[in-house]
Amino acid sequence: MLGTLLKIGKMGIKEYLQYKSVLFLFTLNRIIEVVVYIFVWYAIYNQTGQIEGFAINEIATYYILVVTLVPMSLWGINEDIAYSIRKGYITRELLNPISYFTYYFGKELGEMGFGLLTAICTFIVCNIFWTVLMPVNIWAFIAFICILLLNIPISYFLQMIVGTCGFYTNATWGMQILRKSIISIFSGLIAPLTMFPVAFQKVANILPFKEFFYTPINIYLGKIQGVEILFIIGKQLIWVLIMYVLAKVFFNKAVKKITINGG
Amino acid sequence: MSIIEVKDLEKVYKTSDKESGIIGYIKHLFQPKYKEFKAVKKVNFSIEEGELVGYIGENGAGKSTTIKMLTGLLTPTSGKVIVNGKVPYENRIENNKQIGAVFGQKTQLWWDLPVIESFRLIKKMYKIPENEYRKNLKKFSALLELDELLNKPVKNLSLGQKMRCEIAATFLHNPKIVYLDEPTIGLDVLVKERIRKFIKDINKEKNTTVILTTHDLKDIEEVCDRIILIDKGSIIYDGEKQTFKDTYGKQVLAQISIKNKNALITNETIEDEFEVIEETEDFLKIKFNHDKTTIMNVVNRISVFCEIVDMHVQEQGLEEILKEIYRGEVVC
Amino acid sequence: MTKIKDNISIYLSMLSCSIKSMMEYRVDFIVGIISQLLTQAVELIFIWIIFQNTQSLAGWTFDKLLLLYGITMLTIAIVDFLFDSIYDIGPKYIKDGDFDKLLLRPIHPLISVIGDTKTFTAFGYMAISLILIISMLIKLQIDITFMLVAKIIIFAFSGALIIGAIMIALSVTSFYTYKSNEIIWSVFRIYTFAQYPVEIYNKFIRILITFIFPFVFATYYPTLNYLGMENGWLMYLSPIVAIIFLIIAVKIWNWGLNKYRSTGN
Repeated sequence: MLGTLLKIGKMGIKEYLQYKSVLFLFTLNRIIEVVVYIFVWYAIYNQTGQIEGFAINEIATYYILVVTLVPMSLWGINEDIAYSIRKGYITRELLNPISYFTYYFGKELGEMGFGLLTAICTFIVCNIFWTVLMPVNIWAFIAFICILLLNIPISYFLQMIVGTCGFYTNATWGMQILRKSIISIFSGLIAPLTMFPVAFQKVANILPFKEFFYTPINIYLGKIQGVEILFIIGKQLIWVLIMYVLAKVFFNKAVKKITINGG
Repeated sequence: MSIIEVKDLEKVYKTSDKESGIIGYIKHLFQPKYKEFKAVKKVNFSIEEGELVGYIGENGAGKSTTIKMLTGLLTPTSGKVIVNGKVPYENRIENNKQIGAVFGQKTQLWWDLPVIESFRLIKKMYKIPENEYRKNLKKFSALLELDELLNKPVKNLSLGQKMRCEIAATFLHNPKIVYLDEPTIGLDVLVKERIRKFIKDINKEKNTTVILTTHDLKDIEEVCDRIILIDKGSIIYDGEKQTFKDTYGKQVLAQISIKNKNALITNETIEDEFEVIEETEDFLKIKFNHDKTTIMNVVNRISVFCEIVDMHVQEQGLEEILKEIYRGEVVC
Repeated sequence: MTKIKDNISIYLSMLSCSIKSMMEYRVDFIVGIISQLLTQAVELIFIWIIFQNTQSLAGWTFDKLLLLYGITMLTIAIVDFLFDSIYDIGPKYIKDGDFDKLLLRPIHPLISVIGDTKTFTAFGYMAISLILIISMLIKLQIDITFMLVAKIIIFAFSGALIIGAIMIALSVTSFYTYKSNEIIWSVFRIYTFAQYPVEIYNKFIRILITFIFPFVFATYYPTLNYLGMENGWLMYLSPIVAIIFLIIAVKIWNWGLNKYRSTGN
């Protein structure tokens, strides 16, 4: 099973790398996205001399890590699921000797693998233009990686839920944007969550998206430490379970639609 | 026990009967009305291991609904399907391990990658033992001439090349049963021939059961021994292909070269024994029915009017018989 | 000259067909607007957060910055509406082999491409930009005169043509790679730079968005003009820049097309 998953993942990465220019372009896109944020914060810092709770190189590092993590937190396979439904490939894929759910998890791993490549390139290139802080210590870095790994199933199950909407509407691209917008708002992608109103922060604390950007970056910067990290991992595990159940319910319902109504 | 057992199989589709307009839509939301449509009605058949079966019928006759129930993609409304001891729609994944399927142009190959990559994935997914995989790959490559294609990305292949690879991919894990839905659509004659030969060869060697649905009846003619004919959801014929042709294909077409014609051969002069389709000074094309007359009779009749130089008799093909059945000219 | 006139009139009739066919997709239309409102909300939240930390950004107040943002969105809405199909040349037309069909038509293939547009996001951009522009003009107590409205519309179009010309020039890469859409997108994204005052950037980026990809003419200078700020007159260069860039872009494109034709693909 694991072998099959990794094989599918590897094929996904290879598929991307068929187009040699893609990695370069995706990296360039990441950097264009971060430039504005960083210049805006530099301007504010030069004007006021301070930013709530962050040193200027911390805030720059924050945003560089945000764009570095975007490929792993926002990208994924959900357009693939909608495509497979729309074009009818799903009927073929349901005849695979492994479940559709597992098959696409393999594909998700491929996306994540390519995302990781892009992330590493982005991080290295950003180091040329700005001074990026390194993790405060090795333990912070390990915790940072753990949180990111736990995001993979959460993100995948969420995409499964969004993707199965392809059974009901052709306008799944809108659902995608909705997913990305909600994650952007509640994850700390726009700005560190501590800069948001308190009521808003309370909502963000409950949702799993904070762990996509804000939490790991703050662990990296050493602003979240110790036992708190264990609580966060606990929270993530609970969310993995919740999302798994939801995704299964959504997916099984959608497959019923195929097996009863013939798609 | 038969490898596929189908008993009283029925499938009823419910389609929502919406009135048009927003008001109709809202009405439907609260009080949904459904129309029922019986796609498959009380179908029974059983297929033995190693049989080559052509499953034919017009568009909308219930062909693909049946195939979908056999593969487990569709749950029957009532009745039962057992494939090699398993109920496919209750245990899809387990059933998937023993079957292979080609669905028209819906490829299982990865578009951007070389074909061999997809093959390796199939090897992993179906847990094909290394030596078995090698053996099959070597044999299939020879039969379907894949050697030069394996390292090319799928997107660069022509339709025929793609289908050859697809067929190989389907048989790679030695499936017990293979469902082929329109495997030759849009292909040129040579590729069609090659695919047909491949199916027959593999069937002979591995005793693979093959169920073939196609609109190209030459596929059936050349591959299948048995046909199941479905019309409006019911099976109207199930049996040997040759018996089918003998029973329903009674029309015979004869093309006759003649000389020294002494009179016009009209339908009147031959008293309805056969039908003249075309007539010139040295050529005659006629049609007659096996039940009503024999070739000897016809020859005797014609010799009265002319000398016969050469004669070419053609039995009705599957295609012509089916056309007559669909038109209602012949009843099963 | 008559050739250009013919092309334009054919383009306009194609465009009206495209609009009609877009109307058939009501769900996508609504989803397009809502999803864009959401995407823009994300950006606006960022601006709001900034102004929690400061009173002004390089001398620009919150209201003025939102006006700049609205003007940018208006231009982008027009770009999205008129030039969205440029992205399709590589991944759709050339990859699927449909491009050769366009070459058989009696009009310039570029007209065929941009005439066949289908975008649902443009209306979202449009909605958010109108809300921002109108409310900020009122808040900043700028009289909404006929003259101002005419200026805003004309220079939004002129700005859109500049960006469109850049996209056309870059789409020449379609003749070499199917992934040309990513290249165009990378440059198109630079418009986000123009959403903020150029003073915050370093010299390199200023040169980039003034001379190489002159997005500032499309959004920044016009806003200066409407606000009655220094350097606002530079806005009037915008149509000239647009025409020069369009001519160069079409020249580049024709050169690429000729190469494509002579070598096949």
